Amino acid sequence: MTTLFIVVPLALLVSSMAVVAFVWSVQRGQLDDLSTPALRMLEEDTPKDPTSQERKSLH
Amino acid sequence: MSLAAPEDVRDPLAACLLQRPSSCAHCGLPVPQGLFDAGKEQNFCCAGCEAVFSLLKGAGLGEYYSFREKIGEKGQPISEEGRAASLAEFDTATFRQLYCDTLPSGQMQTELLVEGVHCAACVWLVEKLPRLEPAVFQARLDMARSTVTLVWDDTRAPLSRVAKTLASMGYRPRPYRGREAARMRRDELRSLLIRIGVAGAVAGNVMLMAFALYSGEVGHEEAGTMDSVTTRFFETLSLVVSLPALWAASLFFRGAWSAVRTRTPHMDLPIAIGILAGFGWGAYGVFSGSGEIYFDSITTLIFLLLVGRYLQRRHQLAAADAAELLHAVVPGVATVLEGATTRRASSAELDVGVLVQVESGEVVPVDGIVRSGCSALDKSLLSGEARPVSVTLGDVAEAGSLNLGSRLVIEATEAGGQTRVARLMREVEKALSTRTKLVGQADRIAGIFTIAVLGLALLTAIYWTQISGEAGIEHALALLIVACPCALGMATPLALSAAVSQAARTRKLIFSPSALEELARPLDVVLDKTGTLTYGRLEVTRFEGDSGIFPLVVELEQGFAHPAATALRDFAQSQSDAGSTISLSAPAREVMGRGVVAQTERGEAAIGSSRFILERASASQVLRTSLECGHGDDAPVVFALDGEVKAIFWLGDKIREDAAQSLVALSDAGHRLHLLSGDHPWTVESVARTLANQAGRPELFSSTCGGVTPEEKLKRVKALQQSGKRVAMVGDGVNDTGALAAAVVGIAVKGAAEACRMSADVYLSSPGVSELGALFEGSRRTLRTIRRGIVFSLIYNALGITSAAFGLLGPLWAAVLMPVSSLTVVTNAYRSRMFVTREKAQ
Repeated sequence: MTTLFIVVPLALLVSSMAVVAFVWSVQRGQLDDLSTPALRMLEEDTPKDPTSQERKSLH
Repeated sequence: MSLAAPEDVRDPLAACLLQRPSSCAHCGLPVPQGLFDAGKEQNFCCAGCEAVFSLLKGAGLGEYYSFREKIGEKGQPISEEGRAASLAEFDTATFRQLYCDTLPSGQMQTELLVEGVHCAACVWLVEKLPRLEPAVFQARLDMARSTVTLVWDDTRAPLSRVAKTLASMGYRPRPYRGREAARMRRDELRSLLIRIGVAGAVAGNVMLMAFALYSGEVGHEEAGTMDSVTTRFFETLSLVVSLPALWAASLFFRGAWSAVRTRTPHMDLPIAIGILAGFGWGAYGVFSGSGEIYFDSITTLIFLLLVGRYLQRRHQLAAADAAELLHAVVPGVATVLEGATTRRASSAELDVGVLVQVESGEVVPVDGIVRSGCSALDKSLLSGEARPVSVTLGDVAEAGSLNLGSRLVIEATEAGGQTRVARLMREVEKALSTRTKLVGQADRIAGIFTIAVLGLALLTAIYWTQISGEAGIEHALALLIVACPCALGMATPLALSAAVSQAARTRKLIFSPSALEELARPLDVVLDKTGTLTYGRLEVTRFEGDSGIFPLVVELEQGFAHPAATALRDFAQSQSDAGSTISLSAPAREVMGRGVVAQTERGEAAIGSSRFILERASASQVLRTSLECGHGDDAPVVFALDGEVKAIFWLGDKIREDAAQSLVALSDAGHRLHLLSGDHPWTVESVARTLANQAGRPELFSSTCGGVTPEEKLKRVKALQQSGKRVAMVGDGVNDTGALAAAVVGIAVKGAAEACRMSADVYLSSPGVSELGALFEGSRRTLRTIRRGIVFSLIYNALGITSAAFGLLGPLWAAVLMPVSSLTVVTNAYRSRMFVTREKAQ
């Protein structure tokens, strides 16, 4: 059972890394807006992206 | 910006949009005759729409139209206001200093409020801003808060040009003035979220160790029970790992402490006692090597409670964010006239005595007197009066009213914070900040609960101490821990947040969930007439005379923006599709404030007020009598051709078809109805009478009152509340804002002015009063769900407390009982149908 003394703290270390990652993502504002991203994924972007030429034609 | 003509005119998507050949391909509004070209596949109601259409097409974003169709949101017409939006403020040095940040990369970043964001198509379009305006690198829309975060290159385009592009897309941008407050709200939510994360991780890990301990305790015939070293190891580790959860729970301790200090019962108090008792006893158990530990139950409890708290706070803060728009009624920039030259100035620096020029479609920035020009003002914002008021030299114009006609020059008599609308807004803010929220049901129960639990714990301790001192402490503490009202604390926030999301699906937006608790009880419902019971716009209510003249009326009124002209045109168009057989020989011209005249091949055609027409035409006996008798208090508009009166149109604000029926349902549910409107007292009386007749109940309204100013509305609502009544105010104008904020519950209905919507607790996005009944019914169901949750959790607590008092409860049972009770409450909240029943029935 002595392996537990090594494995359990190791497991805790791994899970604390997950907590750190979570805190980081919250502080970066990734979880501020929970409703808009759900709609953003509905967009179907057409494969043909406007070339820089088309952009220029607007001006 | 040069605009290429739409190249792909055979686009099937665009073609399917054109249900009628004469509706605008962008906004769907009718296309004026003069602009209609049968040869083109797309026609536009105005240059603005055409510009946006070709802008979208040119940038390869034509699928906006198909996307919009899929989502089912009707296009918003680009308002006159939107185009004339005063955008100069965005370039001022003060604005940049206060609201813009420079990113390390040298780009600028700012946050703007945008109006009119409704749906997925809006997100899609707004975030495509970089394609329309190359100086913009990124546009991120936050739909819940109606803000867009822009990153742009300041050297390539000023912010005002970016803002103009946004406005031309139909999303009018406004400076986001409450940046500091918003940042604080955001930080609060983030810190709550971090606490949830930490508590969740702790709870999961401690639970795993508890599992090992429980199974070790039960033992196995071959393997035997867990040896004492391993047991101590897991127990100590549980204690250490649990410590961060104490930090996560610190907000409950703070809440409990302030509850003690202010001597008000609060949910936080029993929660804090439970958590601390559990921790203390567990820590003692670990150090002494005997007794039970409860870390798994306690940490799970903290995690679940935090989730409930987060959901609740998120809804409240979103509403607070939305209130920002209150300040945006008056334009930020005005055109000041100095001699022959004009200059743009910030509205804040305007002084009494300056001359301000207001173009058609702009909002008047000051209170003042008209010095030149002659026009019609839409004062519905202030007075609630649906009909536009014509103003001429020497008349009073108030800040916040919309100029419908031609250019006006106004001399300011009050400016800035002294205008009537500014004073009104201050009243609103005051009312919002002093609004008394009743103590929630769960909190009321929590008060009794805490005392009862403490009493029982004491009794248990006394009883068991007679047997042994240690057993006394142990059983009393077990009771305190199991009584920790996890489920009780979650019952209300969970049910409310479930109700809010269900309500949103039936197009009812609930900004402050506590309003649901209020709405479940009988209330004094105060209704505003304009827009709530009626459509809030002029419409032809009755027609007499020759129906053959409809096409000519359409032709005559084409191109005039006056609401009466719009009403006549819509009515005539809906009655007959035929083209006019009589053509105009000269374009129609407007006689200001009186009517429209044009020469035709069959003589002079004229339409306008009865006095204006009767000066130039004779009427038959029938029509003359009809004019003399009148039609309610609707205003007559008379049409004459070649000196002979042909027809009379009666214009009025039509009562919504479903109004009477919905009102009966409301009064059946035990609510008392009041009618309070800024319209003329006679009009209000007649609307009340008509509704009472339609409903077949003479006593439908407990009181009716017309001609009420916004300030008086607020006063009356306050007076009603002071007499012990609980008022729910239903309204849609800025003139209702104060009253909405002062009422126990403020309800804004579809078509409401943005600022009005923001001071309300609830926004019904379906028009009229029909949805009110559904709202009240839903609230009652919500309250029932909350009660059910509370009853469930009280039963579990009673079970737990009883077995703890009899010394039957170990930590294993506590660990099982607590999650099960929480799960029941969660299921109860999320499985209950509170608002979706109507949709199901359809």
